[in-house]
Amino acid sequence: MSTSDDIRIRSRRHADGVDVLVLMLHPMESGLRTDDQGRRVPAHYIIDATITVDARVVLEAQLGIAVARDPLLQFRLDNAPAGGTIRVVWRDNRGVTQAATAVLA
Amino acid sequence: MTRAATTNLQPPRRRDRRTFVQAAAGLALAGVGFDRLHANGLTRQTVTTALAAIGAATRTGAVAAPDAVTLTLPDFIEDGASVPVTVTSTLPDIEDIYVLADMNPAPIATHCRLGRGVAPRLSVRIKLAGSGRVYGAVRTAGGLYWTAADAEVTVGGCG
Repeated sequence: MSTSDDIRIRSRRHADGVDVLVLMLHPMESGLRTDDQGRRVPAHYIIDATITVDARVVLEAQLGIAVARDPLLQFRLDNAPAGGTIRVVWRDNRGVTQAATAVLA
Repeated sequence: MTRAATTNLQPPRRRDRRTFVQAAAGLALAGVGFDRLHANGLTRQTVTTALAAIGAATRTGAVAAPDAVTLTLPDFIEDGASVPVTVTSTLPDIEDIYVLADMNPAPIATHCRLGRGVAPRLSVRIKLAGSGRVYGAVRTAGGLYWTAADAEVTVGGCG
């Protein structure tokens, strides 16, 4: 597993929490699509993504073929410590895993 | 099978047998050859069956709750390949948020389990195969509460 540039993590602190945006660059091919020559494009999609803050799981996202290309997840943490470490790990149907970390706003 | 699916196969408390058998059959079908319920593009499981299955382990099961759950999606969707969807809720102690769509090959588009300290609010971009209904559902120990909205899709995003 390597740290990935294909995962972007943004966070913004508000009065009532921290908004977190996670963008994972991935083709998310469903396996149902055909190309110009009518050939089936093989399935290639993220199965799940786990997001932790200081090693505590905050979101377990089951994604899959109905999630759009370059999955974008947006959620809000009620009371996360400033400077905490947020970590995103995803794995796809080809067995690839990628991870990235960022510091919370 | 996923943990969600395992949970769903526990005996229901207040559901009649027929509903449970249908839900179980749907889950069994969904599990054939796949490790993820929602990743199965060929299952003919309906949204209703999926909601019943997800809610089977809760006290009340699936309940329509348009006052407690809000689903936001664009008024007109030109391209079904990327549709922003937001689910929020006023209910406390939400454990899971689901997005379902009745025009897609598999009803469950996304399922997120929330950790403690996470607000009941999730935005995600999904694919819609055509026009139809999109469902937002939140699960607590008490029940599965859902709401729905119509999606007008000009070009489907399945291809």
